[in-house]
Amino acid sequence: MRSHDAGRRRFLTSLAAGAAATTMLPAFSRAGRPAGDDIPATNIADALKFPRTATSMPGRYPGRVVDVFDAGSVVDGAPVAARAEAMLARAMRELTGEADVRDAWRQFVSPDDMVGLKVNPVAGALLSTSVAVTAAAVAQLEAAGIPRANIMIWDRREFELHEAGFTAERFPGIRIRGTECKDASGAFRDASGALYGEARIDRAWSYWADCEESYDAETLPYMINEGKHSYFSRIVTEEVTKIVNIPILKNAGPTVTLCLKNLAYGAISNTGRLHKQLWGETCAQVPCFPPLRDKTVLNIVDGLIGCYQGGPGANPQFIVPYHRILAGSDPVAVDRVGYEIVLAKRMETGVQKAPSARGTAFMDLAAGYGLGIADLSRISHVTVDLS
Amino acid sequence: MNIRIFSLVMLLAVGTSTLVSAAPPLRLKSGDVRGWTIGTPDTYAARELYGYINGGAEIYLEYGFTRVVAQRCTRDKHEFQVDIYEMKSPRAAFGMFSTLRGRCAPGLPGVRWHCVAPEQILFAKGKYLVSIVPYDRAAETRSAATTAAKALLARIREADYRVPAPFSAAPFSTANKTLRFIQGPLAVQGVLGEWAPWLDRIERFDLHHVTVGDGARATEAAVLSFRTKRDAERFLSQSGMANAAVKDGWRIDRTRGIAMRTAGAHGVHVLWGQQMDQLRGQWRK
Repeated sequence: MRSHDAGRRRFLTSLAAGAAATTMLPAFSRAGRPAGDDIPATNIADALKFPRTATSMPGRYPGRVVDVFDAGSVVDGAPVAARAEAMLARAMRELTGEADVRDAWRQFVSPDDMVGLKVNPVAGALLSTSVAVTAAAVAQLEAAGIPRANIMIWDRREFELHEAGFTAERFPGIRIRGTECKDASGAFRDASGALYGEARIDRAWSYWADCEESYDAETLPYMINEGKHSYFSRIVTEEVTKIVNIPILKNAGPTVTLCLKNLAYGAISNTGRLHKQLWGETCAQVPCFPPLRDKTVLNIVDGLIGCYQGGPGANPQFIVPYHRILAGSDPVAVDRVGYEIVLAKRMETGVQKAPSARGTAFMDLAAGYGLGIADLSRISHVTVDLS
Repeated sequence: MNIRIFSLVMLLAVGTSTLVSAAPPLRLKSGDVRGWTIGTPDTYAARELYGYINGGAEIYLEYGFTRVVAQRCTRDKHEFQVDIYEMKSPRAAFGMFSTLRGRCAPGLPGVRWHCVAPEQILFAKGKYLVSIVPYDRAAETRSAATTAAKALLARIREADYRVPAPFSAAPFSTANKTLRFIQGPLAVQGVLGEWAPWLDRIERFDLHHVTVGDGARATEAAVLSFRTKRDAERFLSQSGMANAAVKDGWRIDRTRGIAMRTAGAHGVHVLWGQQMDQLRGQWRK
């Protein structure tokens, strides 16, 4: 197995300027489709049978989204750490009504929790959840009494976390963990030939869908399984007790890839097959399973820098400073507000003429499953300007 | 065809193809950017590309992709990344370029299809698509990136992609800076999302597209060529134009500001926007 150095991956980051941009482009499986189109069946009915808990989505603040803006939060194309921390603190206080940011965090997590920060590193250093916002979350969690040993930064692919800047050097004492992973020599398999990732999936939890695709072992050496099942990562089924979801504000074609997408595609294996036929269903249905529905207590959209076109990859010409952080416990409502921000930029720049029903279809679907509120008229969008 | 001539043609074709694939890939060389260290090129063919960017090579494959050469250039703390994509054809290179360009400024002589922005220099010439991304905002990094672009351009002997009719002539030629070429659903979703419902379940087509005018008068004009009559009919049906009223050979929906007409075996011409009637009158079949 070949290993690839940071330089190569850096290349891939910029290659993603065009390519990964389309990696996860939604194929819009439901909204706008002509009548009679077949949509593959899934096991969503099984997920919906699990009784809800006190922490189930949409959590403590259904339909409430705090949107903190600070024009000084990005300087020379880079996030300003101190500003990011102040923005996040304000967002947490505004969301919860607490005067002390530590109390605000304690509404969602406790020192006994293992807290998983679900970031999005797929577009490399140019367009991933920022180290600044993630570090601000870590600092505030610590201040709230969560030991560093009880904090994990996670995503589907461990090596992508490293390439996006989530390293042990930057986050000492905090676990950086991905379901798909390789060893120090760059190998995805151990001496016995077993994929390291195999031990990190939980076959007791699966998103089944009646579609499949085969993967090439040479070009996709880390893919754990093929077939009609996508297994949940042990990170979400066993290792963490609470999830703080930290996506980045970006488009995916004419829609967005924010809270729901970040959770859904980050937590399961065998995702390639789902993009083509079930993009929207996957975004809405996978978070209905208890490991995500009942553990994801908070969503923080890193909108310091994002994009409005070319996403979800990093197309440099469409990367912009939005200077914002969004926060809410309701992932559907946060996605809806984030969509409006991205849509406004797309229309302002002439990328898109008008809103498209396809853009919000997966949010409507998620709302139908009880994960949150997608109707803008029912969302409380609180704006704060710290400039 | 005479069997001997056929064999000769095949031999020449195979020989030429071998020569092309064996030719050294375009790359930056030491000394191209004075004072900068030019990194060792990493080359990725289509299969490798697919794996290493999380399946994201699909749009390149949709257009037709041969390989990419990647080089990192450094000087002290400064750094820029050069990616040289060798596509299957000049049309494929232009097509990818047209999906990637955003707000562009002119500033790169010697190549028609270029886009210079603070974040990236992008150009398409012949079958090559080149992206240069400065990783910092320093003037010397941007200057070095421009020097690198010029060095690569000097080595490309191929011509610029030629604008096809009707976009090479008035009234559309003024809109060439917006010209896109799209071949499949991934690119449609990426840059022409509003067209995606019209092209659902059509896997392959040729779509040239421009936007004439701006603001409220912005009007889209497109020439589509489908592989089959069934696909052309599906497009008309899915766009809601199959049963629109016909005038002067155009199906017209005044509510939405859309006009379409069939052209050739499996082609469709489209106008969408406020200038629909004016452009319709000027567009010869």
